[in-house]
Amino acid sequence: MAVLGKGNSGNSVLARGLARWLLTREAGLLILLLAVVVLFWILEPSTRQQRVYWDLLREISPNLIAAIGVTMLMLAGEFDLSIGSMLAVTSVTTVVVFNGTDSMWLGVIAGLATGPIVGSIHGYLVTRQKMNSLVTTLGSLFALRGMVYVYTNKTPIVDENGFYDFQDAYYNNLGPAPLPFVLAIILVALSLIVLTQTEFGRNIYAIGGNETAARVSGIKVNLIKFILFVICASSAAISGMILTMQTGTGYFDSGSSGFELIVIAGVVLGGIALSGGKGSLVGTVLGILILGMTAKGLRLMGVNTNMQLMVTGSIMILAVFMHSFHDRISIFRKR
Amino acid sequence: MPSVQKPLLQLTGIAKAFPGTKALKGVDFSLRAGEVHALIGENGAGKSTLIKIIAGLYQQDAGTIEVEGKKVAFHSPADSLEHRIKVVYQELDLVPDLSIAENVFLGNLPKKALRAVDWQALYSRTSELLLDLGLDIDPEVPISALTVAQQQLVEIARALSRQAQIIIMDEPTSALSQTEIESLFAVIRRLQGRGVGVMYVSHKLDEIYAIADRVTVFRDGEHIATEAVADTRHKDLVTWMVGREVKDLYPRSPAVRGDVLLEVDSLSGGNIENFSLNVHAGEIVAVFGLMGSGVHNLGRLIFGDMPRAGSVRLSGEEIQAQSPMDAIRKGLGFLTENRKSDGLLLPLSVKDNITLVSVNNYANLMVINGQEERRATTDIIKKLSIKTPGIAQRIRYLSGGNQQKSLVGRWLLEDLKVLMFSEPTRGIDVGSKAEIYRLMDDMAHQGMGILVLSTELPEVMGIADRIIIIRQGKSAGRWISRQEANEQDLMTAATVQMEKVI
Ligand SMILES: Nc1ncnc2c1ncn2[C@@H]1O[C@H](COP(=O)(O)OP(=O)(O)OP(=O)(O)O)[C@@H](O)[C@H]1O
Ligand SMILES: [Mg+2]
Repeated sequence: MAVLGKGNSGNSVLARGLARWLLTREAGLLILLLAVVVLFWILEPSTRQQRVYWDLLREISPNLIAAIGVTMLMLAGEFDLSIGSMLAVTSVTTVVVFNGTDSMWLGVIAGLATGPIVGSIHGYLVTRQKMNSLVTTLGSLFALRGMVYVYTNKTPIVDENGFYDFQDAYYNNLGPAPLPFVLAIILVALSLIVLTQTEFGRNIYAIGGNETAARVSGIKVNLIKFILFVICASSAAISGMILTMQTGTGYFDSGSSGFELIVIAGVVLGGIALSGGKGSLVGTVLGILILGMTAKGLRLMGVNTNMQLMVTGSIMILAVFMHSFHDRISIFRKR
Repeated sequence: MPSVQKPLLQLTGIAKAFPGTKALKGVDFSLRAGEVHALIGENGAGKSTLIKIIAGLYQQDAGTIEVEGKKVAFHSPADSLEHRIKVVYQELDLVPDLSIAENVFLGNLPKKALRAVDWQALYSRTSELLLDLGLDIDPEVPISALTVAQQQLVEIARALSRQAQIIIMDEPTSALSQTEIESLFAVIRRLQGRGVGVMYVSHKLDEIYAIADRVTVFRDGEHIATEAVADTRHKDLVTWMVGREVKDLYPRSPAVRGDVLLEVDSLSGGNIENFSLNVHAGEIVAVFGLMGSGVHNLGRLIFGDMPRAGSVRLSGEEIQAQSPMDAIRKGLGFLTENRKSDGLLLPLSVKDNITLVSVNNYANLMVINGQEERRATTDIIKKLSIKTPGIAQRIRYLSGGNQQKSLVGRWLLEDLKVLMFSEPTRGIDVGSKAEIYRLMDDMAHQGMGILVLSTELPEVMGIADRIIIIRQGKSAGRWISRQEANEQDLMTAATVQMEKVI
């Protein structure tokens, strides 16, 4: 602490608090996010309008919501790679039920129900059959997508009723804020409370920290993991629902262009350890926003997709570098 | 007896600070050829830190290291190996799926033409080294098939394969049986005879008397004393370590024996057969067994962390098999013996580790009251004098003994009827040992039942009201009361006669 102590001697508690906060992982990510925003502000005049940011938040909402589930699961040391395929499952189910029942609500309910169903299957296979979650969900990544392809014959399913209320939900705002983003923020806030303020959340970190220790401390490891698989697939189902609202069709290829990878990239960039037990949901949100802003900025600049890949990749590496640097100095703030 | 010869290893004024802690404040240490020099001190005194500096894992902030009179700087473990220094860590760093031979020569495999591995030479040279250490075992066997003691010998073989002249051992005996400890000592003496210098860290003072020539004591990162072991009284060592006299290591005072709390009836599972015992309120009961006798499995079985047959009741209520959750809810706690694999949440804070079991006690309407949780944690840290710069410190950065204390603390916060301790004081210094025994005594006086599962005879005899022995998974003989207990009989009863034949 000596190094730090000198800088703020005589300053107020507030300044010391700020200095300490600046050493956190989240502060680093926030600075990175601001840097990205400022960079585009300078390079690309069209990013100087407020509208661009509201649009970004609308577009990024499905990623944010899916990332909640992925974060919780990864904190417990497990993975779900199938979330991209989940989007299509939800999307197709929803519109098929729209057309079959002529009921919007039945469609929405059926579409959302695919989440707990698939999540339960994952949970069962991993906790009961002791299957590795990475491999299991890699399997369902292909299997679910295949099912959707077979069922739809690779044709989009059109909403014959034209439920405009459904589609409007995507484009409507609450005040200045896009509805999907409002939903995302509510879900993030609830999850943040669960993760940081409840026993359930504590147990998730404990399981990721040392599963055996958690078990012999009386934590229901299997039950909690099961619930997390359900939460993860369900959050993907919600994302799928939002994307279905956006297009109004049941789309077989929803999420097929690496949705799961982009989300996991955001989560890892946000500082969630692959080994579990370490990281925070706030980091995840910032990670997703950084990747989203970068992609959007580059698109607005008209940069070609190869270049986009390169820049996004570099930002990820920069962030991971930041984390490892942070790990080395992190004990500074652990007082 | 001043020796003309330069010491093999001379450390002078070594200092090392971590954020929030001065681990070493300018200490000296020297090691001569052919001597065993013990290093002792309280938990967090800086022993492991000094070793890591010699191993090249950490760099000292100040001070010098000399090997055979020449000043050296270690920037990495490779530099230290280069000077023929080998550290045998307590958490052994062998690759479990590789063979013994590959491990012994890891990074140093004998080669033929075209840099192909010379397997024949590898196996024959390994066999030689192993035989030299009294280990007659196929060098192609994977490490994972060995006992901890055998793995330790493999580590030493590794040292010999590199002609190490300085061998450093950090608490090598904490998971070894008595016979294994003796064969380790035999190996150490043989090494000594060849002029190897051995630095030996342990919390078991009787071992110091058995093996060491000189002893150095650290306290709080400072050098307190270096003496010839022969001229040093046990009492002095303790006083130097703790900074005061530890009058009563085993403060057991008889408590009122109440109703039976824990009843274990014909328990079987793992290598345990038909084991029964009971613990009453106000009692401290111990199960004593040698390493491998099943004494540790017994805890897992009772707690429900292993499939079992037979019944376990707490205050008359049956505890579900395979449900630690149910055991805790009914009032049974269990401190496991294996701190790294079964106890610690390494990425998490000291606080989260300590409140792992009891966190629901600070929750209201599911939301945790952070203030209460912090207060409970601070209490435990004070009570057990856990050395940490703060409650938010990652537990990974605590010294071994302080990690162990945190795990003990984890169970003190939960309201329980019976607490099972498996090797409660492994890696803990004398002062803190006395403190933990005192807490056990307190708990018994408050009407709890304590069950200690231990391979440490002095501990068992010092603290328990009643003792039962486990041998090859079965109870060996009847209950022995505190008054009847004597070291010789207990040891004989616990020892499998066949072992002597081999
Ligand atoms: N990497 C680290 N980061 C921060 N603090 C550390 C680190 N390593 C050790 N410490 C601190 O340095 C002090 C000395 O630790 P060390 O492990 O050397 O103790 P020790 O004498 O080996 O104790 P024990 O008998 O418990 O093993 C402790 O207070 C510990 O918390
Ligand atoms: Mg140590």
